[in-house]
Amino acid sequence: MTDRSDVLIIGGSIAGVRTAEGLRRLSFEGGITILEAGPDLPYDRPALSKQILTGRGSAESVMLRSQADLDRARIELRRGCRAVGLDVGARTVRLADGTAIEYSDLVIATGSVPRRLPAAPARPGVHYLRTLRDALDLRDVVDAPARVVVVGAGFIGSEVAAAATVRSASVTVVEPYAFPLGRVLGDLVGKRLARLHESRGVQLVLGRSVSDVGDDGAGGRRVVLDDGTTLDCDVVVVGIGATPDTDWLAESGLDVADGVVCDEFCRASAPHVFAAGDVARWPNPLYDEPMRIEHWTNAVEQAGVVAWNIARPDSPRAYSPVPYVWSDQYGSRLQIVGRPRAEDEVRIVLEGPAGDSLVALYVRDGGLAGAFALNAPSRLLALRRALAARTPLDEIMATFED
Amino acid sequence: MKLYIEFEKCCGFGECVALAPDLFRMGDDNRAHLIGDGTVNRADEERARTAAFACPAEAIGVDG
Repeated sequence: MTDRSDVLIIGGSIAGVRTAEGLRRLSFEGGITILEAGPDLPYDRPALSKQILTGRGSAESVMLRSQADLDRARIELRRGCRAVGLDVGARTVRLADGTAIEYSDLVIATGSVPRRLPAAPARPGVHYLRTLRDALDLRDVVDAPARVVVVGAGFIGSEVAAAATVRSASVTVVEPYAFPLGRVLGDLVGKRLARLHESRGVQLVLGRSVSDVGDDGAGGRRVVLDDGTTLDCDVVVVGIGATPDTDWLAESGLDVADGVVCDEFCRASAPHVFAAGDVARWPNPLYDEPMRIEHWTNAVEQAGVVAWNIARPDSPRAYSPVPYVWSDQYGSRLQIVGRPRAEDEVRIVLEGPAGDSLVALYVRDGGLAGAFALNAPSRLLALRRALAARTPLDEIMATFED
Repeated sequence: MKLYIEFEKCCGFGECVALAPDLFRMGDDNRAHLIGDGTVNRADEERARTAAFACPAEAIGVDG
């Protein structure tokens, strides 16, 4: 016998859960089933590299929904349930245990998985950070006097480094670009972020990549860089980005190209198939480029649009957000809106005397493409609104003249 | 029913203030604050839930 659900959601993290809840808020009365490969109830993923690693949060405090919450919304969450195949003609999803589930509408919300460093498969002393279990394992080993080497100075790597300093570990960060977050934000801002790390005693090794991770002969790990430098340590944490979790769709015939390819309504290339969150690639009408965004706010907002487009197929809404991401490091809040690029013209329009606050505008084709703020949330929010309204650049610049 | 805000999560989007200006206000710290202690009259409960659900940061919680 084949099981069935009116709406079947693959992935029980924030995008999947918010899609289900959004449907109920739109008075959708059909059956909703979420399949989650992992063992846990939905949890607050941004908190993993922030509250959990610093020791300020626990497995309980980062839980987003209780079983009772899901029951109340009549959402069936099946944990430990991995989808391994999709037949878009028969509208069925095949599971790892050999069973199948039919759907009327399918939502792909499988998220992303950490990119692996070939020289450093996960093992004791070599960590990747994606799941709650990963975070709890890492939390237990980054206490002082641990020597920690973080590979990658993107969001995850930077937050891990910051959290490890809170735990008094001695931290070295290896990053192939010239500066932290330099690939996105460019050198001018990256240089300031480097200072933020260094002011807390973190050693940055910039412009270098890792060629091998071996053993130091004394029970620790030895990281070998491309110039032959060796870094002996107790813990290696690799944070070099993520790739969309789409392997299970390989034989589905669905259009997949660095994510599930969708239209502006978040509809994939087969009828009644949608995607939301990290895994979805769609053309944002606000920009001239297809996007895939691996951040929390996007997952929340995109889920809302997918829920609407399932419940109201005759009046679908295009998904046209201003991208937003925040990061907490060393007690500072970093925020990015829009689509800044390293090659944009970067204008520092506000800078605190001690380097403790900063606003940078990213100008492209004569208009504002994005902005970065360090400890300047009100400015950043105004810029988010300006991006949504396509406010002319000179008007925006005028707001920074005292 | 009672609302609460997890200030650490609030990014100041202002969705809650737009949807329920009688329940939320934007503070000088650019984060949302409750007007009063968060207790919601029965007649306003659905609107309060809508405002809480609209938060892109999931910073607003509902008890009861």
